[in-house]
Amino acid sequence: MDSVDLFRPRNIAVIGASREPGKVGYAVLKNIIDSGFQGKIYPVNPKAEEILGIKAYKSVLDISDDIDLAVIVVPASIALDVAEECGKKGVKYLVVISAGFKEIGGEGVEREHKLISIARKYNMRVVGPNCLGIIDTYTPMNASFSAVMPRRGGIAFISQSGALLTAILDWSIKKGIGFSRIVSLGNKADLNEADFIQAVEEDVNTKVILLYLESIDDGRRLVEVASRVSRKKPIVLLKGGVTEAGARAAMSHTGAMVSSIAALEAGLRKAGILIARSLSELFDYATAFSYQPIPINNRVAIVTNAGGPGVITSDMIVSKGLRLASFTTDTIGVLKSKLPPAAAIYNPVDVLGDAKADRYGIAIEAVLGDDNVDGLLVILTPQAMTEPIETAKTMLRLSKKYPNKPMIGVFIGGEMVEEATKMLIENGIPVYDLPERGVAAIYGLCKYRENLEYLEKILEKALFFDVDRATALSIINNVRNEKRRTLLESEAKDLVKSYGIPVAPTRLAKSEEEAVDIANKLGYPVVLKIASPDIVHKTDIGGVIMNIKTEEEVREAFRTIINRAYRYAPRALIYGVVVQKMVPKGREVIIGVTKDPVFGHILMFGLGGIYTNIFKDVSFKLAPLSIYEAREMVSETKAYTLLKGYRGEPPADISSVINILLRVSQLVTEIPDVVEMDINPLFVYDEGMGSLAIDVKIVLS
Amino acid sequence: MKTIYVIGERGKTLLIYGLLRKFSLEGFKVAYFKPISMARTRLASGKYVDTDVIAIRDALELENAIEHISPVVISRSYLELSERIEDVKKSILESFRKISEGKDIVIVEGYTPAEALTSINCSVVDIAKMLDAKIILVIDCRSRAVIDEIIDRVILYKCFIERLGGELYGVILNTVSVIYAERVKSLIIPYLEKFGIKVLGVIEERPRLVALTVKDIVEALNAEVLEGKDKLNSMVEDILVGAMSPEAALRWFRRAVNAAIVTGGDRTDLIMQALETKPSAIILTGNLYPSMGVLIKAKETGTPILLVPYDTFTTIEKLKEMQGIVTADSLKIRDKDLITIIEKEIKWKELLT
Repeated sequence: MDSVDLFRPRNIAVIGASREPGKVGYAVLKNIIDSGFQGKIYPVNPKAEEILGIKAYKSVLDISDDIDLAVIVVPASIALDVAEECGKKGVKYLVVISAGFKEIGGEGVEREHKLISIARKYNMRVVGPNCLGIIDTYTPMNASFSAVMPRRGGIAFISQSGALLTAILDWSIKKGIGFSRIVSLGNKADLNEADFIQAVEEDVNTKVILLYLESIDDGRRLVEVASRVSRKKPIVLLKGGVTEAGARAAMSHTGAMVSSIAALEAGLRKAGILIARSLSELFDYATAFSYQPIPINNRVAIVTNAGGPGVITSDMIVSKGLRLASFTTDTIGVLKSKLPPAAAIYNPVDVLGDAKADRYGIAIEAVLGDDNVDGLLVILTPQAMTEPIETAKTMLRLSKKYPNKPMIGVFIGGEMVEEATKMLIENGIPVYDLPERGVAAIYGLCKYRENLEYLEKILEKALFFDVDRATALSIINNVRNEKRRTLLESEAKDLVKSYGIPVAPTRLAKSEEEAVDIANKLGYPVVLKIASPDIVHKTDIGGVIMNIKTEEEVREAFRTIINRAYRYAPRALIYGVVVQKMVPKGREVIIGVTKDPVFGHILMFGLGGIYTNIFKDVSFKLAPLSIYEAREMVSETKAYTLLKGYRGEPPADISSVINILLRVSQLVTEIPDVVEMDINPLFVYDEGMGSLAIDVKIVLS
Repeated sequence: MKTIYVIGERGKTLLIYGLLRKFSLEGFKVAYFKPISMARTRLASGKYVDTDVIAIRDALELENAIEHISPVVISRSYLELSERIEDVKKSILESFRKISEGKDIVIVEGYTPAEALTSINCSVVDIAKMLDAKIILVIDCRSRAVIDEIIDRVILYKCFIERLGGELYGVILNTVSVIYAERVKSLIIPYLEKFGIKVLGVIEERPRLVALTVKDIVEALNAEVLEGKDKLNSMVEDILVGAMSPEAALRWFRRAVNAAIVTGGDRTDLIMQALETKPSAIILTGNLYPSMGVLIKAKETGTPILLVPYDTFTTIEKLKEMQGIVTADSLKIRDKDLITIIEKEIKWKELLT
């Protein structure tokens, strides 16, 4: 952000500080004082001489010091005046807690715009408005009206919901969970999630970043920032509004832009962001990340004192896509010699119901020392002989001895395991009360490692230099000059052709004579299709005639198509017909692009023709594509089975499809005006024979 | 004073507006007259009028009273007029004198079809003679399955006019599709000339040349404008119904240019998608008030949000009825384009000789 760190200001002015307990202006000031903030604090209130024992100022302009951070808690009606004063004063950051901006609509929308233009004028950055404030537990600084100051820890929590934040902070105290930073985003008028992710990128106290978001403002930037930060520390997101109903609620709530779910998923994958499906998952991931190392692979061992939970946990591990570790013969030998004969020595290791801490210790040590084990779940159910506290101590000791392998506790029970649980959490071993939560936590750790590998794989970019951008742009200019958004088929084909994508030869004929001329030049048979930007579904109005073999047939088809167009689409502007050479049939696939309002261009690949709609077998990826992603798009769909050659069919030219995907990606990246594009169908021929775009549709913004 | 009588098929009103604008830019004092018109709407006073007349009068800010610009309005039938046809003609002439007083050029718009009222001795030729006007025929080339038919249609009118003792001064070929442009130029025009018919202009086909403005829709649907009150001057060239899934919707909305998107006020997801594509207006049906988020976004994108009490089907029906109606606003918005068409495609100077 700036040379001054928002989270480490030298001083804070509280504008709208109040003497009356129960008012936000009082709570914020008191929180800053109580948090132990070391810098100077300046309450600003035109009617007070002194608040909470600190000298108050009439205006921020009366303070002689340079101000780094001003927290604004005045009513919205005077917030703009106050912001203007802050600007004049040279304040670096504003945290605007005041509500009454965009969230109320009408005049609030304008007020927010004005706030931002004031901020831009004076080069100030703004948190909020309509937010709870920000907290840094290490500075320490609690510039919020949260009722509690959280414990210190490794979690940075960035939330769009203020109410959720307060609830979680309250809960965290009881659970012993600690935070490094807390950010309430509010309306995100200026600083948004991407800025704050960036702000904790180098923060040594932050081990994991948690996001609760209802809307994403600039998906492109989020992906850019998060894919970089994800390499350093995990980012976990709980996104509100991932179903249509949820999205509708989120939109009504925030008036945010909408992105499709496919785009969101593609974006998060490219950003390396982990997705939590529930609040408990969000925090289960968070506690695992803040204390435990990332495993090098996904082979998990289980040590349990009860058979049933061991079995359930095994199922869960496998169904999450993780593996149960197979021990080496050495490990099996140790377990066999040291554990009672009734104990299960293969994974899961059952140390039996009468196991005390020492028996747990033997099993845990043997398993952690095994090279085939990447992570461990320790399950404990309180039985007559069980020693929860001693066992916890053993776990802590062995966890220190094997610092590179994550250890997670699942202590099933109530009061009997409460103290041991607390001891483990406070000393850095996450403990959960149910197997599914423990499995989710270790899954999160493994998934992050997988994401890191993926981020490496997608670094390799493809760039084609044999593209003719000038031609492409001149086609677009032409369309714009005619005030159209939709390209004619002939234009769309010329456009993709200029990017090196092979197309079935197609030309626009403006008259019958011209059609005959073109058909003669291209060679028979040909296809005639209506050329009108207003007619999207050409076949629906009988606007396509195939397999035309003679000049006479061309004339007849031309007239038929034009007459049908006039009859069935009387308001459409007709440009003529396009004449396309008939090409041999290949295997049909689709390549599509749509520009998502939040994440930008999304590429789509799948089986063509009627299969697209039947099987919904499509892959979505965010542009620009890396070479790995282009390959992945093809291989992760069922189309791949067909392209590889099914039941004796020769393999198709898959590399030509990958090449075209990469060229399409480059096209939309270099020409962002394209908001929709469809190559449907793309005929893929046998290996070495290439592919041909048969129909191309392009829509501009 | 010159009087030009424009008769024939579709496209007369726009052409006349363009000509009147062009002539007044050239410094002439102009007037508009429609001796016999069709009742298409009812004024608050209970009087029937032709919407074209109101549109041109308001767009050009003519000071003449409507009943003088349009003295005879037919609502259902006209044979009854035969008994007092001489009085009718007299009132036409009187009105004409009033509106043409002090003017240099009067353009008279004919009734469609041009042959109407011949049976009751009030043919175009009768009126042309009475007003001392030269007759210009407009032919709509779009609605022909075989383009060559237009030659014979012009001949038919020429014979008709001459049989009644009049003269066809020239013809304007309107809405010529690009696919016939070459044929019209190289074959059809020479053919017409061979029959002694002067072609005064060829106007290229431009669907949606004029369209309703958002304001027109607000008035016609009696809509409440929830947002974007200052953005009502944009055109509505296309009408889309939002009833699909939001992802499919975006694809449709994006293709449309200057569209009005009609959907229920509770379809927040669709409305938000629609707002992404900057439509001319969003029409919310069923009096369902939209959510705050919608209004915020509409304010930010400057998109008018109209609330109407009708259901979606009724709204669409009402909008359909309005298509093809020319309003003053729709003319004014296209003012420059219409003048350019006259300058480029019509031999307008020849009309003054």
